[in-house]
Amino acid sequence: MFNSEGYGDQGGGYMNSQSNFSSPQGGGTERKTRLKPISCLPCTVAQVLSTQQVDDKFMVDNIELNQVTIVGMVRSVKESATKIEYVIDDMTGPPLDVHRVVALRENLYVRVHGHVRSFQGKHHLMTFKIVPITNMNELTYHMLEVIHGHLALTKGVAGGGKPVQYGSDMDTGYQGAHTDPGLSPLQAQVFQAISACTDERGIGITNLFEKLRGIPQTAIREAVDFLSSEGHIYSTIDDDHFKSTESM
Amino acid sequence: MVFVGEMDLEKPKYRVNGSLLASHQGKNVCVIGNAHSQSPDGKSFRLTTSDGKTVTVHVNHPIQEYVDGLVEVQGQADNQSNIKCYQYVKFDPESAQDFDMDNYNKAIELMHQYPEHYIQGIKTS
Repeated sequence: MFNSEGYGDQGGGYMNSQSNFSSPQGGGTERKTRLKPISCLPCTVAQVLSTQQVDDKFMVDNIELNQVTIVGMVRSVKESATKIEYVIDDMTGPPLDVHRVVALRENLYVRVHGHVRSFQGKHHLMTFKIVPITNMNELTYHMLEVIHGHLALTKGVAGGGKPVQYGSDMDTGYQGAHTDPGLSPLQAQVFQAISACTDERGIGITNLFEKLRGIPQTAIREAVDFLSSEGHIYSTIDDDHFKSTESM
Repeated sequence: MVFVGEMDLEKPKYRVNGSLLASHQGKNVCVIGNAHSQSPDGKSFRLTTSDGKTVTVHVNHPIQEYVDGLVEVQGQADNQSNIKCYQYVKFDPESAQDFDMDNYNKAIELMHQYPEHYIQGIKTS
């Protein structure tokens, strides 16, 4: 049965659940019957808005939705003191509110990665990454990925019991394509070292120094600050522990 | 980018190709194609859709610019498989240059073949 395979348990990366460090207690009893939350599901806005909220969890096809990626057009931009609120429309239903701290302009297609959240009964995304789409083929790609993702979730994968390992197909093209640009070789190296860490508390800075011996500690600190400010990594249990926003 | 008229954003804008326009009469649609043959009065242009069909796009207010290249039209499908345009988006040439129309068309066909796997629209309670 697909259910017992545990889609999220696979080590594929793209959809695994390692980044879910916010629920370290391990779930207790009610979770036994459910699959682990998926770390990043490609989906449509209509899908996000149709999710059932059970307590603080968002359920789709009886699976907890954690992070999602959507591709849509920026309909409007609203700035407030604490955040910028984007309204993103992927044509599948009402536009979705997306909260984030970067500047975009209207009528631009973007890829959004974020957590599904709810405020006053209305679903929105808290994002950690918004990238403008520079090649319209990514729209086609996302449409296919949405179909594929949902198919794999509900039916398993054709011709075999094993659910698809999302990461393996994607890493070569799309995944690599938007982690690398903009990073210096040193920053990329630091990012890789942080991404490679599977500890749910993330990697400690001293540990990082050891891993990257030969690189001056100040340079590593600078790279960490940069990666943090760009949203590639975030601090975990204290200011000296980090985890990657890309699940590896 | 221009706003032409008002469209009900709360409803899905079904992504379709030229052939699927007929089955979406009166519905909001979203069509990507290559624009050409703009009328002299600026009130319409022709759009060659991803499946190679050519449809006419009507706008309420004359367009003040020249529309060509890869364009997304959001509007309403009429009973002659033409589109009443609410909004169109010209993609910048750089992001449009390698756009694979055939792949996009296949994705559209899959999306309509398996609507249960490409969720559109939400239930209003």
